[in-house]
Amino acid sequence: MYEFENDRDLVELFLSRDAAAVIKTEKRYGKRLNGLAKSFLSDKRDAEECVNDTYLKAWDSIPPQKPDDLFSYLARLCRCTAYNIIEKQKTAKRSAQLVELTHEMEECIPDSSRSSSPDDKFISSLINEFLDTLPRYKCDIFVKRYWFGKSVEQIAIETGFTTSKVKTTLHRTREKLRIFLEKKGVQP
Amino acid sequence: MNGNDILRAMNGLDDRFVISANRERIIHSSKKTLQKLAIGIAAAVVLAIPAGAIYTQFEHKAAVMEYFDEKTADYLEDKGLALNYVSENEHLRITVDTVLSDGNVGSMVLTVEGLDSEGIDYVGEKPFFDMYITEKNDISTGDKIFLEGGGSRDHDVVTDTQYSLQKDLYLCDIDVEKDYVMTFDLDRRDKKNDPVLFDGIAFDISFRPNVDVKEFEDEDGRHIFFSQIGFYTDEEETIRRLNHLSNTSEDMRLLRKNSILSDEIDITSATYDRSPEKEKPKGCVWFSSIVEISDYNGARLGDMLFKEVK
Repeated sequence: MYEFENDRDLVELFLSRDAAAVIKTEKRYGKRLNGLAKSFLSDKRDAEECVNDTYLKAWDSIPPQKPDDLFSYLARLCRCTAYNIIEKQKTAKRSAQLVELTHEMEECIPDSSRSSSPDDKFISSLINEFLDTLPRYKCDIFVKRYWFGKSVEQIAIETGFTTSKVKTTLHRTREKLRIFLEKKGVQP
Repeated sequence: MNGNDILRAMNGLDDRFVISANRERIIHSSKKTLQKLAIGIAAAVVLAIPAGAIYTQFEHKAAVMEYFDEKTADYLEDKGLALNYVSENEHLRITVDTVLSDGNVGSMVLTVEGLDSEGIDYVGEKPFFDMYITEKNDISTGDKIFLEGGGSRDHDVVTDTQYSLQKDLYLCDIDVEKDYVMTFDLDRRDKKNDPVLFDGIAFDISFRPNVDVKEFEDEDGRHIFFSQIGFYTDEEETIRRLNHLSNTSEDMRLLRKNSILSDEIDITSATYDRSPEKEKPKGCVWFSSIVEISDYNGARLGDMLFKEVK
């Protein structure tokens, strides 16, 4: 009865190996993915490459994957791809936004010395555990900032909070994360 | 380890956090807002208002699918009617998942989550509770109107700390063009729990029509308003006739446009109220799922044949 497409329809197109899946996904989510890529990559062409790789990875991974929330799935692919590009290039092509985010994240490290890199998965699991301790709105603000790479101003618009409220919330959350990681025995 | 290691490690964040942060909703956590409401409640609150007609996904889609169906849940998401309004205190978090209105009948899906031991104990009983609305522009002196209407609670959308329920709304009794603040209280028969459970939980809410509606008329001049979610009439004689029909038989059919075919009307609940104490008679019917009313131009209800009023 209804002539519309939703995530489920799009995922079905991927599952049936219909090339229209990528075109329709681009139409639906292209702008948002591009915005996400640009949060991490300063070069426009890198961002475009990142988004195109995201579509390719989605095409290659669905099936066997069958995401319930297609945008979140694509956003995760896009974010990981952006990091892969950064790691590969090892040049100063990080966006100013990413540099700022990295700087803020330094505050969460229990010790100022930075000699080794604990396993990503271990840190991921701790961050997940930490976020579970937060009220939802604080968690949302934290994820908007450090996962989606959104600016404080953008978060303020999206949440209805003032920018100073967002900044304060982020500052306190980073401080809490630092203490949490310290308690969990994270060594720098 | 450096800041970038943490940012990179966040690639492994659980989907639920990403989905939650990606929801398009505006949250105000403001005591001032509540003080302005002056409704005698004092508590910190998260008051949510709609983010506008943009594509949003239901946070509790399983509930919406249970009370309507999957197609309806998808349709509502596409129409920007996945509201996900959230308001909470230290005991309970209530989400208004969706509010549908055709101006006469309406439907609402809510999800209640226990946040502390008192809230979780309350949620464990899966109770119904009372809902009130007050005109927003007259919040300090305006009447607190009891939001009348039946509803349902499906056990398939229940966990230890959370449940969802659906409420039928008689919007014919209120001015749907006004803005309201919706508050909550224990069910009036509930003498066991503490009313403080709902302190500070409030929503800015609107019942302005957000689904399509058509006026139908039969040869004898009877009128019924058909919408995507139900139908309504305030004519006593029409209500009397409707009351004699079975909701589950072939008695009620919608007639397709440009076709001799018709479709059975699938109804979840109906009220045919001609009580003398009521200001006006009320014939309200709720469909089990969204109906694309633009596909139809008539209805046969028993021996009454209605045609769309052009």
